[in-house]
Order: sequence, then structure tokens, then C-alpha cells
Amino acid sequence: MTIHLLEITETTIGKPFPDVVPRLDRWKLMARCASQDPNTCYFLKQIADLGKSNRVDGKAALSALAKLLQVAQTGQPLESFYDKKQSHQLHEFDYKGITHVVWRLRKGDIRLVFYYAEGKVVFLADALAKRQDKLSVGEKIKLENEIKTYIDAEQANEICVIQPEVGHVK
Amino acid sequence: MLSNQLAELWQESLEDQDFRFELKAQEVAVSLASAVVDSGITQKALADKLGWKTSRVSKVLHGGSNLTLKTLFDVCEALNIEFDIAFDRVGARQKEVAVTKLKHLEVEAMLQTAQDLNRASWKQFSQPVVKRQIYSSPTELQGIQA
Repeated sequence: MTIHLLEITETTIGKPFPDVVPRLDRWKLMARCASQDPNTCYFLKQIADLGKSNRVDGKAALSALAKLLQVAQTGQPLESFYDKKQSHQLHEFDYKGITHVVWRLRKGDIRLVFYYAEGKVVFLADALAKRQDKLSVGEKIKLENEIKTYIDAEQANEICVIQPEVGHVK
Repeated sequence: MLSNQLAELWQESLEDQDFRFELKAQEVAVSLASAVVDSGITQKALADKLGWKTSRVSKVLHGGSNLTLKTLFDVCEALNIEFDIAFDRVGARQKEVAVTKLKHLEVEAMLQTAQDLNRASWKQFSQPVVKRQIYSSPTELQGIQA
């Protein structure tokens, strides 16, 4: 199944006056969309919803995202910019004979969940406000399914990267 | 629309001074941590060089503390790098750009209004003109009316 990915940048997160020229060796932060329309990005929808339900959470999410973008832009190992409390392994699961690790960034009550994919890609799987750190069984399944969808599409070469200004490019 | 919602959230967040400070503090911490990675020194070695606990280095590099200029200076000395502080007016310039765009739109709208008025007045003048004639005598006028 083809999936649509949007690169999360200062422009796509709606930051006013984005001024970063992307470096070639950057980490690419990618998130899944329901269609080729960037407005259907699940991850960004979660960020917007966080802001709608609680402005403090919304600000924390934007702040966490702004830092992650700056860090990704350096192209250096992400763990050099966060301590263990801020960034750590959240979950791991076996799929197609490989153990996949899911990571989490913490900022206040906000959790950004991601997965290191091939080709210096960071796949942003989830953004949520969580007062409890332990994942429920349902949350684990949902997370695993999201990452499995990505892995399957990557292996089948069925990833379409959305170019917001240009349109749709495979 | 999602992009509008996000832009709105940014707009509202940026009105908060604490939020803006946090972004700025994060930027400095990330730049410093990036310089440490570039130098190839470990946090432990950096802590030893500075005579600090590793936890303090971690706090400084990971945005957990409000850096003083002295702290920034000490870390840069230990890394053998320089740092500069630049006060630029990018924000002010961007505001100027926005104001300029608005003015441009205003001028365009005024021009459009002027053009519309002009067109309307031309239409008025291009209506068939009634010829005026001076009649020399009442009988002549009566002849025409008949």
C-alpha cells in the first residue's frame, strides 16, 4: 500500500518566517498523511489538536518540535542534544525478523514518538500529551501498526513524498 | 484547515514572552551542543576540563539551565572556539516587509478604484450627445417641433 509522507519543516509546521535552508546531510523528519494533501498529516493534526484542547500543551509541542527541527538540521546524532530523561527508548517489537526500537522525546507533558528509519529518516509516529509514561496495550498496538505500515511501504518502495509547493513527487 | 490552525497556534504562542525566551534558550543550547559534537570531545572530558560535574555539562548542553555569559564563555574556552552575539533586526525587517506588502495592496486597491471611477466617467461621456442649436426665430423652432 502506498503511503504519503510529508517532510516536517519550519514551513510545514506553520512557523512564521521560516528561514532555515535545509542541509543535505540533515535528518529528515517525516510524517504520514492520509492523502497527497499536506493538510491530512496525522502528526501535524495531533499537534494542532493538542493546542486546541490545551494551550500549554500546544506551546510545549511547538517548542519540542522547534528544537527537534534545529537538531535534525545539524545532521548530528540526535542523542547528543537530549539527556536520558528527555529522549529515551519507549518500546521495542519484533517484525519480519528484526527488532525495531521506538523512541520518545519528552517536553513537559508532551511526548513525541519516533522511529529511526533507513536513509537518515526520522519517522514521526505520534504526538500526545501524557501524564503517565507507561503505554497501554492499545497504544502499543496502535504504535506498532503505524511503524509496520511505514516499514512495509519502505520495503515495497511505495512511499510518496509530498512536495507541498510543487505537488506530488514519487 | 490544518495549516491555518497551526499558524494560529504559532501566532498565539509567539505572543507569549516566556515561549519566545524558551525558543531562544533552546537555540543557544542546540548550537553549543552541536559545537561540542563538532569538537569531538565527550561530555565527560569536557566536564573534567572545566572542573564541573558531568550533570552540569548535560544541563548546559541540553537546555536545562538558563545560561550565563560566563558559562557560555567557559565552555567555548574549553572547546577552543569563539562565540559572537549578533543583534539583528530580522524581526523588524519582516514586519517592514509585511507592512510594505499591505501598503502595496492598499495602493493597488486605490488604483483599481480610480480606474473603475475613470471607466464609469468615460461611459457617462460616451453617451449620445444632444446637439444644441440656437434658433433664430420662433417659427423656425415651431417647424422643427412639428
